[in-house]
Amino acid sequence: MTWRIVRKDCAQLWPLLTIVTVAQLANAAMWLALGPFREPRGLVTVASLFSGATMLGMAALVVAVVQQDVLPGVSQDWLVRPIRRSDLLRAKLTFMVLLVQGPALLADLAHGLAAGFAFRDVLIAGLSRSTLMVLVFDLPVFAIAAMTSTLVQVAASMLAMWVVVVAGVFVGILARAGAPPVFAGSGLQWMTPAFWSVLASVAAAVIIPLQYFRRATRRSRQLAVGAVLVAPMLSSSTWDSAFSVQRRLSANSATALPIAIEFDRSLGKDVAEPPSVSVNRVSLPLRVSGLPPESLVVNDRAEARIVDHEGTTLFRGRTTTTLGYGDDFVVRTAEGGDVRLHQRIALPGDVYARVRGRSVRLEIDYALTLFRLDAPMAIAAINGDQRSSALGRCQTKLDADGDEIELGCVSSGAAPTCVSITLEHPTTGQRNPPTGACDPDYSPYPAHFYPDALSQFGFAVPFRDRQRLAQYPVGGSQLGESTLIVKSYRPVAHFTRRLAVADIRLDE
Amino acid sequence: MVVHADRLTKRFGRVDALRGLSFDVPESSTFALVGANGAGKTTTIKVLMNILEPTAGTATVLDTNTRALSLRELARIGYVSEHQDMPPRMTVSAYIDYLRPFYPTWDRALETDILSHFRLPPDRRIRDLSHGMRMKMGLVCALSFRPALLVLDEPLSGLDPLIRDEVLDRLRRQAGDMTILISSHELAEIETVTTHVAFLDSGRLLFQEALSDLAARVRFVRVSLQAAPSAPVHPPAEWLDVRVDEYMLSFIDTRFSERDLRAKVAAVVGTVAHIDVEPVDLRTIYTSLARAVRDGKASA
Repeated sequence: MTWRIVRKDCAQLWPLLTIVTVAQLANAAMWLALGPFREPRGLVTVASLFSGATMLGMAALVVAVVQQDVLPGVSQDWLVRPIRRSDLLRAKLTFMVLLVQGPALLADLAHGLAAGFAFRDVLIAGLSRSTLMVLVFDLPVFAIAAMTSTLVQVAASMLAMWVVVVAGVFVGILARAGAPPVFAGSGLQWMTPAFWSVLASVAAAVIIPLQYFRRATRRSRQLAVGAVLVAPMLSSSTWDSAFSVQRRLSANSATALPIAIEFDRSLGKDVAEPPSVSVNRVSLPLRVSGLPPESLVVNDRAEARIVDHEGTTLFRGRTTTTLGYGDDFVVRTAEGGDVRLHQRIALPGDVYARVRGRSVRLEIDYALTLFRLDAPMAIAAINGDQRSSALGRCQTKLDADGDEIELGCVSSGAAPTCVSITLEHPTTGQRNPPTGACDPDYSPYPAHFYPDALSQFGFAVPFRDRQRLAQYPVGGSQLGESTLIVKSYRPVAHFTRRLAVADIRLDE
Repeated sequence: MVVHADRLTKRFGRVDALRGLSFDVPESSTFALVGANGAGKTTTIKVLMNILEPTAGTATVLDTNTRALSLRELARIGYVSEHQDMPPRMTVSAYIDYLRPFYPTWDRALETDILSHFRLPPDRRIRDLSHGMRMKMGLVCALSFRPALLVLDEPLSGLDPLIRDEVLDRLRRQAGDMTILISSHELAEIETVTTHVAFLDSGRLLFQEALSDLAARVRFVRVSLQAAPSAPVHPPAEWLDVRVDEYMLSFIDTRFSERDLRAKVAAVVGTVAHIDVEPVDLRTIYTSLARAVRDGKASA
C-alpha cells in the first residue's frame, strides 16, 4: 500500500520532482566547477543563490507530497478510503527520503567523486548531510505541511515563525540593554542553531504522528507555537551554563589539566601596544604554563573583577568590548611548556579613570579552549596539489596581484576553524611569520547541509608588502622552491581558570 | 442494523451540532436524513464515517464502533459528498486506477458500466470536472466495489435535472444490493429511492419511520363544511398547515385514520359536508413539519 501511494505521488509530482532533482545535480556541478579557489568569483554569488533556491525547491517538494493528501479538514477523500494512516505516513516519509533527499545524496556523491575523494569519504559526508537535513530541515517542513492545506499557508506560517523568533531575539537584546546573546561571536555560537534545530526536530517528531494518527490539528498548531516561543529563550541563558555544556562535550578534557595562567610581572610593559589604542586599555602580563606541544589555547571569554582594598567592586565585566576574538589572546606553541604574553583588557572610560592610579585586586575568570594539531600538511607554494586527512584536497596558486599565495581546499569533513600557515624556503631554512586564522566553532557534529556535503575554504598567505613597509624573509623570487606548512588545529578540551592578582596598579 | 446511533452529541465550541441523536438504519434500506440547513445531517454523516469524533454518545456502522472503523469496514463503505476533496491534478482514470487495489471487491465490469453510464471523460483532470461530473466521479469510486453501505451527503445538490436523473437511475439500479444512507434537500427526487426517513431539526431527531408507514399515516385532508365555523378552530396537534376558508377546511393529518377522521373533524368544526383525502409527498410532509417545528406547533 505504501508503494502504491508513493507511485501516485510520483505521478502527480513528477514535474516538480524533475526540476528539483536537476537543480540538485546542477548545484553540485556548479560548486565542482568553482573548485577550491571558488573561481570565477562572480559565479560564487550565483551558486550561493542557486543553492538557496534548490533548498527552497526541496522544501516545496516536501510540502507538495505531504499536501497531496491534506491532513487538516474534514472533506479529504482519503479519510473515507481503506488507507492505513501508518501507510500514508510511511509513503510520505519514503518519498521524502528517497526522492527528495536521495538525489541530494547522489549529487553529493557525484561532486565528491569528481573532486577526487574516496567513495567511503564522500558517502560518509553525503549521508551525514542527508541525515542532518532530514532531521533539521525536511521533517520540520513536513510537520508544517501536515498542519496546513496549501503552499501559501506553509509560506505564511514559516514567515510568521521567523518574525516571532527574530522578535524574541530582539526582545532579549533589549532586555540585556543592547548586549548580544552571550555566546554570539564565540565558538559556542553553534548552540543557537543547534537548539533551534533540536527544537524543530522534536516538535516535528511530536506533530507528525499527532497529525497522521489523531488529526489533532489544533493541538499540533499549539505545539508549534509553543516551540516557536521557546526558540529565542536560549539567547537569555548565561555564559557559564552554556560553557559548562561545552566542557562536557570536550573530546579529551584531561589534556588541559596541567595548564595554568599566572600573572607575570617580569614580562614588563607591552611594547607592541601602539599608543593610539592604549586608551582605557590595560596590558596584563601573563604566563601560560603546562601547554602540550603543537597546541593552541583560545580565550573564549574572560570576565574581570576589580576590587579595591575595602572590598568594593569597582568593575565587573568582560575584558573586551567586541564580539569574537579580536581583543582576546590566542596562545600558540610548537614546543609546549610556557608561553608569556600580554592580555589586553578594555575598560569603560569612567572605570579606567577611577582605577588607573589605585592599587586594586584583579580577578579574571577565563573560559578557555585547548586545540591540538591535526596532521600538518606541506604543499608547494605555487601550483601545489596535496591531500591531507585534516584539510582534504588543497591547491595553491599566486593571486592576481602577485603579493599573496592563495590556498584553496575542498574537504569531505568540516572546515578547520583554527589554522596556522607558514611559508618556508627549505633550501635556506628561511620562514615567514605564520599567518593564522582562528574563528572557532565547537560544534560537536561536523555535518552541514549548505551548499552541499563538501566544505570549501581558503586562506591568503602574503609574501610581499605592496607598501614596502615590511620585508618578508621568503619573497617572490623563492616561491618556486618554497613550501606552505599548513597546520590545522581541532579543539580537544574546554576548561576554566581563575587568575587573581592581589595588588596591582593598572597604569603600571 | 447497519447503522446505529445512540445519543450522539457533537459540539463545535459553543454550538451544539448534534444533541443526543439516536436512530437506526435497517439493512438493505435506503435511509434518508432530512432536515433544514444546519440541522446536523452532514455532521451526523461525518461522525458516522469517523471523520469527526463525537463529543458524547456512540455509533456503530457495520457492527463496528465508528471510532474503531478499520480498513475492513472502510473497504465496504462507499461515501460521496458534495464537498469531497479528491486529488485535483489526477485524471479520472488515474484516480480510479489508484483506488481500485484498495478494495478487494472492486468490480471492473461494474466500473466500466458505471463509467459508460455517466460518460465521464477518463483523461480529464478532476479539477477540470464540473460539479456534476465530480459527483458522478465520486459515485464511480463509491459504487464500483459494491459497498455494503453507501453514504451520500447531499449527492444531488447543485446538479442539473439531467444529471440528477442519471445519478438516481444509477442508485435505483444498485439499491437492492446495499444499504444507502442519504442526506438531501432534494426530497421529491430521493423519495423515489427512499424506504426510510429521519427528520432532523437543530441536531435533534424529530422522528424516523419507514416511508411506507409515513405515507400511510400522513394525508392531505380537504373538508367541505355545511356552515362556516362560528368560533375559532382549535385543531389537534397532529393536524399541520391548518387552513380555514369560510366553508372549506384543509390540513395535513399526521395521524390519519379513515375510520376516525369524520368524527375528529366534526368535533373541531361542526357539521361536515364532504371530505377529500389525498396522499402527501415527502417534500410536503417535510415542509409542513418543518414549519410546525419552527413555529413551535409540533414535535412530530
